[in-house]
Amino acid sequence: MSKSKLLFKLENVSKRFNDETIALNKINLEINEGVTVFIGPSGSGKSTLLRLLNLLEVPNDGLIYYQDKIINDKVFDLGLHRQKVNMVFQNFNLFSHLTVLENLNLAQTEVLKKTKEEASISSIEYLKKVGLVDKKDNYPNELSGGQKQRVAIARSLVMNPEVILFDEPTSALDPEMIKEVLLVMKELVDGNINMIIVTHEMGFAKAVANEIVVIDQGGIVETGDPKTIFNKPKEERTKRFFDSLSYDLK
Amino acid sequence: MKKLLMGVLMLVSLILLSSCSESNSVYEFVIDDSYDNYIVLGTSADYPPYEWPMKNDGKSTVVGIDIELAKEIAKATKNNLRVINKGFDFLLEDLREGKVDFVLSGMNPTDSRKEIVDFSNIYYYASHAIMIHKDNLNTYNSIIDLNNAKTKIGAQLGSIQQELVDTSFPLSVKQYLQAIPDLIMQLDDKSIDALVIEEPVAKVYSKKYQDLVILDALIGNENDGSAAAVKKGNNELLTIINQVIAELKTSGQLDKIILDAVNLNESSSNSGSFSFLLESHFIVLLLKGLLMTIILAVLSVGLGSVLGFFIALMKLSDKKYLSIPAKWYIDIIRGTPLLVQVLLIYSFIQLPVSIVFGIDLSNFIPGMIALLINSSAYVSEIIRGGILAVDKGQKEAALSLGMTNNQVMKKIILPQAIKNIIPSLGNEFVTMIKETSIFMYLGVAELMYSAQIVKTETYQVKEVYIVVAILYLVLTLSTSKIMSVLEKRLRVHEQK
Repeated sequence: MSKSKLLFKLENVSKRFNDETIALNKINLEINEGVTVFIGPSGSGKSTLLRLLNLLEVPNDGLIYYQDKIINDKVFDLGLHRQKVNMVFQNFNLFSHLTVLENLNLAQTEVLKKTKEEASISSIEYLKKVGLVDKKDNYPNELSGGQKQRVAIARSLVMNPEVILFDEPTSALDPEMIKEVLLVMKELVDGNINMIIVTHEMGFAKAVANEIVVIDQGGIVETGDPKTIFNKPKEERTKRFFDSLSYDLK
Repeated sequence: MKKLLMGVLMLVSLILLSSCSESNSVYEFVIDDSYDNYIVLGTSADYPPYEWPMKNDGKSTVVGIDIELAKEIAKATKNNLRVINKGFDFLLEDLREGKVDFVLSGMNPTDSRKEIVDFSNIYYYASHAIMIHKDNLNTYNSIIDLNNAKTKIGAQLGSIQQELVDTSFPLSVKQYLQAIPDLIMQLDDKSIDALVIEEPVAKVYSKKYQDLVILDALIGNENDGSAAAVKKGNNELLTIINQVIAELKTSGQLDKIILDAVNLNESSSNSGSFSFLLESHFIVLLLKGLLMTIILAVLSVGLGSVLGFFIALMKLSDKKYLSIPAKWYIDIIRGTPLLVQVLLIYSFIQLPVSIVFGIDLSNFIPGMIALLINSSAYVSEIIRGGILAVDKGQKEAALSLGMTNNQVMKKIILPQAIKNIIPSLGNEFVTMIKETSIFMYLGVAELMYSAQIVKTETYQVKEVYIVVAILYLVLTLSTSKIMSVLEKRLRVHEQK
């Protein structure tokens, strides 16, 4: 990936909950194609920021552009936007009443208006990619956490999205399952898909990110490439955040 | 598939109902084959010897003084006779609305009744009798002994005897009920100490109940007696009725009618406890009542769920002009008694009498509407709760794939909410099975109505209520069982 193109642009975006608690305060940010990772302490607003990008949260002020179009605008086709900008959740959110295959088929038949047969062909293809084709007739409650998240990723991929938003995809997993999910995500990086990831997996962030965004107390602390951010952070708050992560008990 | 099954079930029920569709609340008497039209009598057939239900040639019918008189009136107006049997309280309302042409129900022309309908001349003067349990003969030697704060005296609600009790026994405790058989049962149980009823009625029951005796007669007003009621201003019919009464009195035929009715009543069987269970006629009557109860409950919960679903969506809406009316609707319906709702809706929705499968739709439809409105309020809260209980993440995931709100509701929320809804809906159904008993007052032949018929005809009041209680219990317990099986099957794919 050489010269990156602009994906998202945020201008003075603020988000308040219950019109009081300030979650994000006057954010100005540009997100380019490739892999962007949001890091920061818990409650910093990084998940809220991610959820603004497909309008699961609606900003109180400011403008959000996606490819030069304002998305928080009444005339904007939000359905089409979300089809192009999918999300993978911390708690998987697989449709609990549907089988794995039906989970993958549903949005294809409902949104892309494919026939069930066409949808199943793509679904099987992507289930193979995440290594779970033998689970296609199982229900979500019969899968392990790691398997659930791989299905969720496949469910997103079958929609042929331009961007996938990952909201702490490994936080709800047992340690031995984190790796299988990260490996699938790593494959996506190599497949040139745009990803915006909120994560606490610093090693992963360092390895895959084109750009790191450090967020704290509802604001952007600094942005930069992984080497700069991890090795020579400019801001004191970034350093403090990294310090808080190391549990080197001397 | 389930809808289909439900539809088939309904169809089978209706066919079953119509196959034995001799009506239980509407009776027709052909006076003369050449007459084309019917004159409609309203009566409350729980008042022997004036009118009571009776089996005749294996068919249910109504008999009694008033029925014979009504036949004479029908003949004089050159009409056949149709008799509609309904709760006493509804008779005058039906008359005012023109659902019936005249009312004969052992009714006394009280001043308050005269304000809303017109009465004929009195066709039968009856004195009032005081009945007591024979074990109490030593306690109560005369009428004066009854007037004290320890004595409980019963009378039919809204009757002339009620006024009489109020004026004659100011100190006593009063017990006013609508149905005479219930009062008789209480007297027999000694739940009440004395009962004031019309003398011929008292005589009938003192013969059926060995333990009950007539203590004394009460002299009431000389206007106390039974008269026919017609709609205010219907002088044409009133003139004919007065003529008929005058002729029957002069010819002595009225005395014969009265004597025949008393004899007929005495001859009817009263052969011991639970003997009605051996007669297929009564069994069929009760089972038909049971079937009707099921149909009413299914219809009210079924249609109530459809209406309730939209009410629930309205209340969940973030648009105030939808959510606030929905909240009012639910609050009002849940905050008022069902009987009041039925009575109000019955007086607002006035339909002409039309009989399908032996059911008078002019009663059935308002009753059904009241019941489904009532059910919809409760069901809408069940549905709303079921929808709210679905994990928010499910909706977010579906939206994030580009699905519309409608698609999310249809494909994600509702299929999951249904698992939360079904068990509570089962409870609502069990409640409704019991609530349908209010149809009794409207003359729709559900289980309680059938019970009224059987108990009036057999005089086995307590026994009939025991059997009916068991039938309700069987129905509600099997419903609960079916629901819990259904619930288990639905919960198979529950997210852990």
